[in-house]
Amino acid sequence: MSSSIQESDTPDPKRAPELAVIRPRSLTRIALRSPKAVVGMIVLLLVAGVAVLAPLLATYPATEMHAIDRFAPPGTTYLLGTDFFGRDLFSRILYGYRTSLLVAVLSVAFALVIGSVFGVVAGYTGGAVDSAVMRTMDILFAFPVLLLAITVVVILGAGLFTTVLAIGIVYVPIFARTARGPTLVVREHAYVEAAKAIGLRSFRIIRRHILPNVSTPIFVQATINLATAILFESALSFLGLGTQPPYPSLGLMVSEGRNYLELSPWPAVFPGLAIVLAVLGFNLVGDALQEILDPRLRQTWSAA
Amino acid sequence: MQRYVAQRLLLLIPVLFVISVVVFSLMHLIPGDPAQVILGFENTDPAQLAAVRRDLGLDRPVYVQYGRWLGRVLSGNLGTSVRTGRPIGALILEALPFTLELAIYAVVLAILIAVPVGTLAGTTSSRLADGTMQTLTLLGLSLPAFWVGAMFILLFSVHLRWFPVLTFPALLDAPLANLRGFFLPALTLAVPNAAAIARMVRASLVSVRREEYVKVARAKGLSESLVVRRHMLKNALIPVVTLIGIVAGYLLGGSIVVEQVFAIPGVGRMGLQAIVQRDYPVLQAVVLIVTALFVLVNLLVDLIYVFLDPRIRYA
Repeated sequence: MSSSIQESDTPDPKRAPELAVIRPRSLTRIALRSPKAVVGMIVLLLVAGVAVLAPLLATYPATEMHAIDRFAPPGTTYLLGTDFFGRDLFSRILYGYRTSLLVAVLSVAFALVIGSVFGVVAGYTGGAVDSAVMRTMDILFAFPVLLLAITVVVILGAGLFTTVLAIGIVYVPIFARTARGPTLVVREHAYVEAAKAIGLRSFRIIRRHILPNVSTPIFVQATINLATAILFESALSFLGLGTQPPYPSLGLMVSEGRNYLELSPWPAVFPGLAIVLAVLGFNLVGDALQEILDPRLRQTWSAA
Repeated sequence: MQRYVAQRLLLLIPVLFVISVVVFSLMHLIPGDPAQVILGFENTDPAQLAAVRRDLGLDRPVYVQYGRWLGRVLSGNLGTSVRTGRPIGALILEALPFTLELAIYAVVLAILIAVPVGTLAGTTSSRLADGTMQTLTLLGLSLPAFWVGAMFILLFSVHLRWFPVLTFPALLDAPLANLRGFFLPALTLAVPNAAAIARMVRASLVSVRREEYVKVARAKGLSESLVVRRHMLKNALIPVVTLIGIVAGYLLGGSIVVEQVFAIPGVGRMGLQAIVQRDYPVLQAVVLIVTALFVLVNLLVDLIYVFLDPRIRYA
């Protein structure tokens, strides 16, 4: 739950010129030179691939029970073994990935859209609107994230889309802050002044001049938040407040498996490893992108 | 500095006010009638329902209800549990020490792990060592706490039998047994936070590396370890303090998961049980207490930060 640890301070508009404007496309090109990003992208392609192709790759239906093969060890019949009900762990993990990725992508998309709108509008308008929006975000930040999400679930009732909403709401202030910073900087630039002077409408200025400048930090933030959203979804499901059965969920699988650790560790071990793999993929890419945007994070060896 | 402290303390009032409104609304937003929950769903006698509503003050306007609720909370009365009939204040006082000990223990472990790892990564001249450390901390950030907890139990309690499972004697009665019992849960909670802090220590050290005062210290002929300890770490650790504050807050939330994995009777587990049992007054109190603690911890850390960093202190 270390999601919002990277918080961006409001930059000083007077020191604006240093703002690195790297467009997402060139960002991807630079990222291909970083081994970390390449490894991360391969992992992500793999995870996304098996999630999409789950119906083709699954060796058994995800909910099919094999009463005589309960707690089968990993082997040729059941690639990763079976659980308490004799369900094939490999097939369930594939479908679990579908749930994880679906929830993560939808919740981050929700937070990205709402949060960026808040952040850009607050930063561009300034004054009372800015104060009102950002103080509201501060108060959202004042709640411990997991507790806030749990509260949303209790009010709305557990389910896939509640999970999306719960995680999304928690992430809104993060994107609002990420979008507001660069907006404040760009707002002061001469070309924005000029655009205002020739009478362009705010909407058009925001679309043409502000959005291209905030899109890169938001993109990087989204990558990192996809990683934490997967952890978040699995934690909620583990607590019984996220994805509900019969939908397969990796967190729920660990929760079921941990009751029988002494009988067979595999039903708890493999779904957990699957979570780690997906989260690590997003973290590797996110970390590499952050380094590109903020070269100060890179160690230099020339001086050593 | 006094002005800053005063400002921060004043800001606390609106934040706590909004939190209280949100927590109060929680009871009203949850689907279902609290009076019906208390009576049990079999009992549909309208007279009894009305009586319970009157007892709870549910027949009054919402702002009156809020005022009365806030008055009670401020005087230390958190209500009674619908399930056990016991005062919630007493229940929280029983559970809170477990959660606080877990969180403090975890912060200590996280710092003990993170500062050496981050220092090594931030000062080493070996690209391999830094890269390895960076990858390991990234892995640490990718681990779900509930799974790490389960794996620790599997490895250290089930297979190696080094640590007892599910025994949490009081700290004062049996300090050693207590620290032993809490070790695995605290370590579970510490792992991702240690990774986050280690990365921050490293980044912070890398940024002070080229500072003039570090060059001067080296030029004076100070030993490398002295340069790192006295000149680099001392300055680099200041921003890390804020992160430790954020982390301490996350520990309060994260402990919900860890308490569940290790069956620790703390506040988080109490809240989860309250959800399952529909004991909403208890849930309300848990949300209120944990959020208030989170806000206070963050305030405390901000104040410590100001105290540590003279640039802010005298600004």
